[in-house]
Amino acid sequence: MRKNRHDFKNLDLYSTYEIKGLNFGALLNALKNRGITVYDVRKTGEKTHTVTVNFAQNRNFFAIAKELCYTDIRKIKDGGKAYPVLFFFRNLGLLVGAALFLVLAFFSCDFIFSFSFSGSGSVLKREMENYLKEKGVTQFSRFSDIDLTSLSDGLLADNPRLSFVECQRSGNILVIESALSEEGGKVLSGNSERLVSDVAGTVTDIKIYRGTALVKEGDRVAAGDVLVDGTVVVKDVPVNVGVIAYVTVSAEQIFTYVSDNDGEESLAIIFAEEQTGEKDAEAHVEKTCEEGRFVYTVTLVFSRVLFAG
Amino acid sequence: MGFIDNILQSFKLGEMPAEPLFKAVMYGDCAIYLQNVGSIKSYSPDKIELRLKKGGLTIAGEGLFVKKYCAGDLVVCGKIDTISRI
Repeated sequence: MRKNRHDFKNLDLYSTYEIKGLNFGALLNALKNRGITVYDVRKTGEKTHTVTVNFAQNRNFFAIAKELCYTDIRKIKDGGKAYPVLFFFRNLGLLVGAALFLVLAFFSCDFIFSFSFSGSGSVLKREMENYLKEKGVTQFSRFSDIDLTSLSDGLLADNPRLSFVECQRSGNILVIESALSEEGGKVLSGNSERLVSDVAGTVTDIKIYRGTALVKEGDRVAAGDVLVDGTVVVKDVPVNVGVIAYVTVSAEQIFTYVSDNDGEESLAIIFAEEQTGEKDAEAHVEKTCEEGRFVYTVTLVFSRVLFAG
Repeated sequence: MGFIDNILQSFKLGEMPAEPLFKAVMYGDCAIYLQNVGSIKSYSPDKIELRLKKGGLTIAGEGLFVKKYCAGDLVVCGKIDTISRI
């Protein structure tokens, strides 16, 4: 038997034993006379009894039993409210292992094991992956080092073809849900002869898969300007191809709204947005008073993605 | 003066030393609590024989077991049919 080097007197612990032998009453009396309290004494066989004693009195119990020549004693179980304490005391390795497991689980939960792209914007997976790589978000990066909201905003700002991006954590997976903007959602046919701008503004981004660029980033363009042409030169011979390209133009449009009433800035913005069809434009309103009427000058700044394919 | 003390007085038992007396309290027919038990003479699920300071006591029944035994106190549980003084 394991020696009880530690005192469990104050703990609610007990041990149940199975004892084989005759004249069991003598053992009970001897235990009582030596101050050992016995519980749940039951006869389970012809010569077999079970008896429960306090865990702290185990050694005394064995000594008395052996004194009376009861040698066939088998421990059935340990129990009591404080049994978990005893269990962990006896299985320190298990406790350490469990603690180690919890610590490892805590840390491993913090790592990104993979990425998942969902939504219509997942067709731009490669571009989003490049952005993530630029920002240092790779496999085995830590979630705690990433601000998912700013990452979502960054992905959205980086790619004008996306209208919605949301990064979420699902276990050890970084889920990126995205939606294509209406312009970006067109299906490629490859039959466009050229890409023409429908707004005036500055080219901020240009990507050409097929065709010849007639403008570059930073160029000012007017409405009706050809941005990408379907004529390419192959071995000094001009060849017509279907244009596949997209160009982002940062446009600025000014609208004037005149009213007899003061405080109609919001109405003026709505009017301007209706005119352009841009609901997410950045709007600035300036109000002047001319001949008793209020003139609202609305400046809309928006990014227009022009797509051909 | 309590009820028990009153009875003891009535039967002129008040002056008797308390030690040789055993006390028994029954809880229905499913348990009995005994004080001043000398020792257990024999034990089986249908009969438990006890030695008292003076004489003995036999508890008969079914499925009897010793719930607690220490320092002269004994609790026997099970279906108790008879208790007889020897």
